[in-house]
This record gives sequence, C-alpha cells and structure tokens, in this order.
Amino acid sequence: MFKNLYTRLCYVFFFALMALCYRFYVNYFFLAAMIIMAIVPVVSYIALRYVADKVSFELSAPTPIERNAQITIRLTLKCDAFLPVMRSLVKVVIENQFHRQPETYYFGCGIPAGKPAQAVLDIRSMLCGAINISATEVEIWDYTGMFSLKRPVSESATVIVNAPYTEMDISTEAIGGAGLTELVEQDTKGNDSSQVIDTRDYRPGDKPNRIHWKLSTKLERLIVKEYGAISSNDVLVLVELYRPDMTGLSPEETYKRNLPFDRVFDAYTALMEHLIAQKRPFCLCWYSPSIGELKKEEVSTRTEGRNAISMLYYENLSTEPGAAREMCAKTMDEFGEFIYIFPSYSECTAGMEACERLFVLEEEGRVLAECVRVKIT
Amino acid sequence: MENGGSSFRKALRRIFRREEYLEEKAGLVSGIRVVNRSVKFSEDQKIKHALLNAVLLFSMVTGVTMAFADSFEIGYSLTAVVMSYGIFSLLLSLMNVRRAWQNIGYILIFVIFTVVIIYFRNYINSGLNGFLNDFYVFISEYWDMDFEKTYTEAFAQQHEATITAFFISVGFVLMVLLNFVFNNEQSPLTVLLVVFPVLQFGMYFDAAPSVILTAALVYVLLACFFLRHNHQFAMPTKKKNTRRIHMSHNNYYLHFSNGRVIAQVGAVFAVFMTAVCIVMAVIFPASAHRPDSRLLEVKESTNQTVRQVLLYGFYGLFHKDSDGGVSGLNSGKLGRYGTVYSDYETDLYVTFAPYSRETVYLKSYVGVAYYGSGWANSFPDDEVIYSSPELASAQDLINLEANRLEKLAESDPKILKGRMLVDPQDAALGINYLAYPYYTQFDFASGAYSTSFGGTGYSISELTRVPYAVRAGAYRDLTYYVYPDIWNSSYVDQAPQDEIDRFVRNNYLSVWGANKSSTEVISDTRYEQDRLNVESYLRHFCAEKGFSGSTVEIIEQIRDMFQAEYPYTLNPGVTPKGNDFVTYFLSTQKKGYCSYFATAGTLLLRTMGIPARYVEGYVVSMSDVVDAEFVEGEEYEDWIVGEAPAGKTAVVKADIDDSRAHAWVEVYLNGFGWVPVELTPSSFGNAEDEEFDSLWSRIGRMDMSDDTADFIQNIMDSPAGQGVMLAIRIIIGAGIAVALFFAGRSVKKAYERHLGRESFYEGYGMRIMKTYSGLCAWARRKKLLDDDNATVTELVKTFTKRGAGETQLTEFADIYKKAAYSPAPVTKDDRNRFMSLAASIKRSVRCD
Repeated sequence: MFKNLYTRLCYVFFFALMALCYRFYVNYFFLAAMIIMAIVPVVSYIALRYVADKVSFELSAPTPIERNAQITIRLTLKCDAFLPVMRSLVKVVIENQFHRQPETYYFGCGIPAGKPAQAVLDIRSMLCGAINISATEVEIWDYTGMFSLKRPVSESATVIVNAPYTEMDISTEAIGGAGLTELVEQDTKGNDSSQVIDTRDYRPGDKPNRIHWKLSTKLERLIVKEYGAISSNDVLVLVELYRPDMTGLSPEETYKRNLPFDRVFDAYTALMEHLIAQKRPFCLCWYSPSIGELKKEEVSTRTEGRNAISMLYYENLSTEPGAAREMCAKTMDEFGEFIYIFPSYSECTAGMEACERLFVLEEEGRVLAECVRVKIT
Repeated sequence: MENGGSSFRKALRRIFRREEYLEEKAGLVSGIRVVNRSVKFSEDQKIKHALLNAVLLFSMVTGVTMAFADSFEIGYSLTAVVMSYGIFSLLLSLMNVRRAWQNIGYILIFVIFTVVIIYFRNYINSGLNGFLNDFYVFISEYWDMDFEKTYTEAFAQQHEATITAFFISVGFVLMVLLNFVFNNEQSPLTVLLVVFPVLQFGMYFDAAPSVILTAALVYVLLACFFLRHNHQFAMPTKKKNTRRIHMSHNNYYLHFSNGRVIAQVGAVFAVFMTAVCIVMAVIFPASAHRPDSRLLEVKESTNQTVRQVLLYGFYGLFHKDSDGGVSGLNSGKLGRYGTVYSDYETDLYVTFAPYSRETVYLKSYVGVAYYGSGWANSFPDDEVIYSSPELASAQDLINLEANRLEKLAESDPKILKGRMLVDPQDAALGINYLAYPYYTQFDFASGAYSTSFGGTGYSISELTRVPYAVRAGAYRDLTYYVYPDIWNSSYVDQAPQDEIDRFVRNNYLSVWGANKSSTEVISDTRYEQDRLNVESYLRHFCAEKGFSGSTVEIIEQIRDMFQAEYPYTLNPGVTPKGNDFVTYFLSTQKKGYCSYFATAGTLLLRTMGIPARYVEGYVVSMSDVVDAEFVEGEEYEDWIVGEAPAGKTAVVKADIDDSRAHAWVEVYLNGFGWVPVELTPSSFGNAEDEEFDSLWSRIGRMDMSDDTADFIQNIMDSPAGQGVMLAIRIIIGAGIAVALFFAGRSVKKAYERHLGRESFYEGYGMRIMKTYSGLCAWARRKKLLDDDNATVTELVKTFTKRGAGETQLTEFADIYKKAAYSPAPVTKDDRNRFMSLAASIKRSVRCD
C-alpha cells in the first residue's frame, strides 16, 4: 500500500515538475511530457488487467530431508501473455505442522513473456516435522509500479524434516528380545471376539471395521470394539508426543523449550537405526489425542521407520504428560514391557526414575530426551 | 547495573538495528530460518549488471555534457568524447563486479587523474577558458549584454581540442561520482537532480539540446525510476543490495532480477513511446503549439534575478542597492556595499551630437560636505546665504558657468553650444536628481521646472539640488555649453575674482564639512574628534606623498598616485563600522571604485587648498556613442553650434544603463566655476572585465598570468623548491603506499568473505563454519567423503573409522553443533579450540 503510495507520489511529483516547467518555459517538450505521463498510467493499467489473468506458477520443494539441511524452495512463474510482467509478488507461507508458527515470505520477481522465471529460496528447519509450504496470493504490478492487482492462488508442497542419525551406545541385552510385548491391533474384520477386551461408544475418527455392528444394532447407538494386547516377540517402541504450553515465552525460551520435544525424534532415529542394524523389527506406537487412543506402525526396514515417524508429524500434540505411557500400560498384558521415548520435561520424567535407561540425549549438559525400558508390574 | 546496561543496549539494538535483531529472533519459534540472506550473483549476472550500469552511466554523462554543449553551441570533438565516455563507463562499471577491483580501481583512478590534471592542467584549463568564452558569447547575446569577456586560452589554436579535453576530464569526474550513485541506489531523485538542471538550463536560454540527447537523459531517468520501483536492479558488490532478502514486520521479501524482463519491458516501452510520439506528431505537432505570450511573464520576470545569480553568484541576490534597487548612484553614501553590481537596465536615453572623443559627463548628485561615511549635499549651517551683484536671481547662479560661456562663445568659436535630450527611464525614477551635461543653461522661463527660485539670497542646498526641482520623468530638452580647452585657459590658478569665488574658497576647503545629517549639530564632540583625525591624517598623507605645485600639477600627482597604488575594483569590500571611509581607503583598503577615488580626490584637493566637491552622475563614453543608434532626419547643425573637435557627426541616441554610473571630482576655477576632474584610474572602462575576474577567481579559476607562472617556476627551480618538491613526492608516495595497503587488506577481506560465503553467521561462528567447510572439502579431495552435503555425524563417523580420536571428534562435533544450531553465543575460545581440533583431526586421519 505504502509502496504504491510512494511511487504514486513520485509520479505525481514528476508530473507537477513537468507542469511547473511548462508554466515557466512554455515549451512544447514539457507539454508533450505531461501528455505522455498522463497516458502512460492508463495504458499501463490496461496492460496490467490483461497480464494479471495470464500468470500461473508452480511450487516445488525437496523430498524428505534431515534437520538443518538446506531446503530449496523453487517458485516457477509463467506469463502466457505477449507482454512481460515487470514485477510480481507471491506470498508464500511456510509452517511446521507441529509448531504452528507460520513464516511469510514474499517472492518478488519479473516474469518475461514466453519463458518461465524462477525464484529460489533456501531455508533450513531447525526442528523436525512436516513443513507445509503454500502459496496463497500473488500480486502483480503494472509497469509504472503505481497499480497492482491481487489474485488468490493455491499451490502447496510439504517437506518432511527428519532428525539426523546420532549413533548411541545401546545395549542389545537391555532391549532384550523375547518377552517384550507389542500392542497389535488385529487386522481382522472384527469377528475375532477373543481379542476384544472392551467396548465403548463410537467417536469420530474410529475405523469403520472396528464398529461392533451387532451390539450397535442392539443398543441403537454405535459401539466400537477395544482390542486387547497380544503377546509377540517384536519390540514395542512408544513415543511420547507431549510438549508443554509455551504461551507468552520469548522466542529464545520457546526454542529452548521446544528442543526436548524435538530431540525425541533424534532418540527414535537412533533407536530405529540400532534395531534395523540388529535386524529387529519393531512396532512404533504413539498416542493420538484426536482419537484418544494409541496408534501403531510396524517397522522392519529403515524406509518403514522413516515413513512411520513422518506419520507422527501430522499428529496433534498431547497436552497431558505421560498420556501415551499410561494408555499403553493400561492396554498391556501384565508383566509387559516396552521401550519408551519421551522428552525430558519434568512432568514427563516424574515416575520414570526407576526405569532402566537405554540412553539419553544431552546437549550442552542438558538432558533433552530419554529412552527407557518400561516394565509393567 | 550490568543487566540494566545490557538491557539498554538490547533496547537500542532493537530500535536501531532492527533487521539484525529480527534476523536473530527469526525462526526460533517456527524453527525455520533463511539460509543465505546474502544472495550471490553469478558471474554472468554480475557482468550483465555491469553492462547495464555502463549503459546508464554513458547515457547520463553523455547526455549531460553534450546537452550542455549542444545547447550553447560549444564546439568539440564528438567522436573523441563519445569514445572516451564509452570506455570510461565500461571500465568504471566493471569495477563494480568485484569489491577488490573497486578498491584498487578508485585508487588508481585517483592517482592517474591527479597525474593527468597536473601534467595537462594548462591544456585542460585552456579548454575551460575556451568553453567559458563560447558560453559567455552565447549568454551575452541572449541578454544583449553590452560587454564581452574573453578568457585567455593558452592553446587558442587548438580551441576545439582543448574543449574536448576539458569535457573528457569533467565527464570523467562526473562519471566517477555517478558510478557511486548507480552502484548504491539508482535513485531517480538523484538522477533528476543531475539531469534536470542541464535540461532546463538550455531551455532557459531558449536553446534546448537536440532530441537525441534529451531522449538519452529522459531514458536514464525513466530507467532508474522503473528499475528501482520494480526492484529489478541491484549492483552485486554493494552489501546493502546483495542482502536482498530483507525483513519487514517479520515478513521476508525476496526480489529476483530478471534481465529478460528488463529487455522486454524496455522494448515494450520503446514501442509505446514511438507510437505515442508518432500519434502526437500527427495530432498535436510542435508547430501547432501556440502558447499564450502572457505565460512567458513568469520567466521574464525571473530573468533579471537569474542573470544576477549567474553573473555574481548568490552574492548578487543579497547585495542590492537600498535606493531603488539596482543602481550605480549612491547619492553620496559610501562604503556600505562590498560589491557594486549593475543590472544593465537602461537608466537614460541621451540624444545628442557627439562633439569630441572625450567622455561626456552627465552631472546628477553633488556632495559638498563629507561626514565620514558619505557626502551631504548641504553644509551644516545651511542658513549661509550669499549674494552677489553679478547675480540677479538664483537661476543666474545655477546657470552661472553656462551664462559665462554664453558670453565667451561670442568671441571664442571653440566654445560649443549644444542641445541634448535626456530621457530618464523607469529604472532611473529612483534617482532623485536629473542627469544633465556640463554646462547646462536651464530655461527656467519655460516652466519645465517646478521650483521657483526667488530673492537675492540662496542656500547651498537649494542650489545643489537644482535638478531635483525638475519634474521627474519629464522629457528634458537641454541646452549646454562646452569649453574644450578650459584647462589651458586663464581661469586656472586665477585669484578669486568676486564674492562667489570667495564664498567657495571659504566653504569648499573644509575636509570635514558637515555633520551626519542636517538635524545633528556639528559641535558634537565625537564628530569634532573625527574631523580632527581626518584632517590630520590627510595633511600627513599629502605631506608624505609630497603633493605640491599648481592646481593642474596637484591633480596630476593625485591621479598618478591612484593609478600606481590604488587599483580599481568593484569588489573592494565594505568599510568596517567605526572607520572613517577615506582614511580607511587610503591607508588600509587601497582599492575601490569611482566613489572611493572621487571622495579621496576631493578631500585631498581640499587639503591642498583647492576647492573641490564630489559629484555623481553618468558618463557617456566613446563606446556608448559607437553602440548608439543614429537618429534619422536630424541635422548636426540643429544640435551643435560651433567648431567641434570631432567635426560634423551624426545625431545619436545612446542607451545609458546603470553600469555607466560614475563619480568624479569637481574643481572650482575662480572666475569661471566648477570643472569636472577625473581621478579614477583608467581601468574604469573595463569594469565588467574586472567584475567577472573577481567572480571566477572566487570559484577557483586555474589560469595564471605569465608573471605568476614564471614566479612559480623560479621557486621550483631553486634548491629550496627542489626540496619541497621532493617532500611532496615522498608524501604522495607514502599516501599511495598507505592506499595500496588498505586496498590489499580489502582484497584479503573480500577473499575471506568469498571463503565464508555459504554461511550467514557472523563473528567466531562464521570462522568455525569456514573451518568445517574446509575440513569437508579436504575430506572430499582425499576421497574420504562422497557426499557433498555430509552432516557432522557422517563426518565424525568417517573420521572415527579412519583412526581419529573419538574424544576429539565428539568435542569437534559439539562445538560445530553449538555454532550451527544453538542460539547460544560462540566464544573466541570455542573458535580457537575448534580450529586446533580440526588441525589435530586432519593430522590423525588416515588417508588411502
């Protein structure tokens, strides 16, 4: 707005100068300049209306990438008109799904007629998560820079930012093997009643195949089945997705408070790499506050491990510390065991002192994330 | 206290270094940070930008200098100027590609330019003078100035070549200055400030530059306007411009230049402009432009002021005569203005038949009593009334000399009787006194004079104000007498003949003859002391100078003294407050214009016992007669009676402007009356030259006279001069050495910046990042790493396998992570430790 205003004022100033000169010199040159200056904005605006509807663009971003690695965002703009665009401004919003703090970038770029123009931005993410990049609006200027038109657009891309692998000294014995229990949701059609340990009312988000149709018909409301735990030789890895409320904190403090949560993914990556190296398939499990239950994903390869963790990036964060652990303990067999990865917030570490620590993640002498073996007694 | 200070510093930083502050804060919440805020240009982009810069520079400087030359019809070599400007603009623009080139380039330019100026100064100065001569001819014609100024051209036979050299040197300086402008801002306002005056300057003189040159200037102006306002232009070496991702209200703005867009928009604009020009040429051509002449009044009304500024600088705006604006007559006021200037407006039209080649004096104001800072036209005791049996009335006294000459003419054919028409113009209405020739015989009976003189006693003021009694603005037809040979007559050194002679002798020998005004009394002790001081000084002065002899001899001695020791100038400076005008002039100032010489001459003559008085008026010189227009249909015999020395001449109408205003001395010859005496040095006729010399000397004219040049050459040839020259050379050499040292340091810094270009961290962190990059590059060269984007974890892992100590590597990785990812500040110890670890790791790693 003010940029336009400044340019307009400049133009008016030039025009006034020409008028003043004409008044003084009564010279044809200044009169001609005034006439041309009066015509130019009109023609320029008409041209703007013409080219504004001919502009299109694409947004591209890289495939999954490690934290702190460079993310190159490419914006390719194209003008199908026979006139070029002197200046366009694309509004791009970049947001980490976890942290919900959108950053706005404006890409200013001229677009030649007939050939795409490219604008590039290199960023890096200091925190893991799914980075959503979306272009929401494009503003196109006329040649004088005095007028602009805005056009809504909808282009988006997502970049998954994973934690880098940090090698940890993890004892294979500590992880153990047999005896650990995995929470497995039977992929059945729901008729194996031996596994059903409980029922409850339907909640949005519940899978249709978990609906207990017979009971629902009887009670005339939707009832879903709760499955019990089954024993398995696979490892169960539970990740706590908890982050305390950070409202009102300074940016520096917020960053510091975010680190333990973020380093949970480092711990997971370290453990995953270890288990994959040991050829130990495992089951990644986490608590989804949106559906109020645990979710799981079986992992036997590195790719599966990466894909599984990326599913976490789209989850809402829990506001209750230890919710995943409690839910897991509740649904487990007696004497069950699992590996629990949690951020080292005081509210999460409470009650975990007695658990056997597989490893901890420290930075600058501060414990950020911990990985423990939990036994249900 | 420390925390308080720290908070204060933070607050200041938040306000005054906001972008840096925001940058540090950016991404801490969202976790997203911009990697490289300093956008790096590719070599290709840099060259393209440099070429665009060169085109703008060339167009602008060529447009500015050549438009000026074209407007004022100044001859020069077009090819040489264009080629020089082309090469200069290209070289200067290419300097912008690298900071090191810039630093070294500007130093070299300074050195080379200094050397060129020193060795070719006379040649270039000759070009400057030639340029000024041509320019001056143009504006003289434009304003119809009645004078010309020619500056000495040392290489006059190479007029165009020297002007070309001058243009090249001036254009080069302009180009260097503008290169800064384009490199930094491309501000249309700056361009406008340079371009607009040149464009309008020619137009002011109705001499607009050619269309091509105008188009070049308009092109630069519009190009800067469009480029800047569309963020399409930024030179690569300027840090401010390369940091093109800027933050505003937590939003980032990125601007990407696109040469193809610039080219296409340029083409579109060219097509559009061509089309508009064609349409305008058809619909509304320049020939159809018929402005209302009344519109031009604004320009014409400013013409006078602009001319004053042009001729005298801004000084001319403030130094206008308080009596009716610009005028050469001071009405006896002395020493108030440091500079006298003329507006060259016509004050009088004088129609007469030139009777000789001598200057004709038109008398206007008569000062009889000097009071320290001016002349009064009355004595303090103005009640003095004298009478003479010879005079029947006051009119007789006014016409005293004319009446005597009328009688003499009957027997002496050399005494001429003439007729003169004096027509005062608007500009002269402020003058309270009519200008009339010696010796006018006023025809009081005609009724053209409003004041009646009656009785037998007359006050001096009444008599000296005779012309005042004439109705201002009336067209005067005057009869006058000329006595060409009066200084050879018997009236010279004749004893007093009558009451009038005695009255004059009694009253016109007083040096300090009046109080400051008629309302103040002469007995005032301060004035009395001043009188004594002045009288004493003048007596000593005359004694010291040894004035003696007859009236004619004393006049000659005074005139010679002025000629030899007191140069003529229109810029003598004011007389300091509290100083007596004439003593200050004779003792300290020792330079002045006609009023100075007339006043001093009058008082010196009085001191020597010769009755004299101060007169202001106009002079009609031979050059005025030459430039005057002939009056058709008038016969010589109707205008001159008698045998004129010049023979029969045509009747002319001379245009007398205020530059012809003058002051002189009147000496009283017993038995005859008042006779004009010229004591102003002979350079009076070249007053305008002197004005311009002083003007240009003020702005540092470089030319020097042969005497001065010889003097300087003699000094330089002397042993002392050689020593001074050696010292100067040593100083210049030392200066160059220091400059080269700083240039080298800049190059080194630029190289370091080049090494650390991938990092946006500042300070120690940047050094750590560079060291890390160097280690990665080394590992890749040694084929220890395959991936160009190896993380520190991979690097540590690789080096561990290759035998590097784990403790070292862990510490290495920790410091790196701290520098790269942690918001905690990196210390100098961290940097030193990291560098020593990197060196140690490098040594311990096994390579295949």
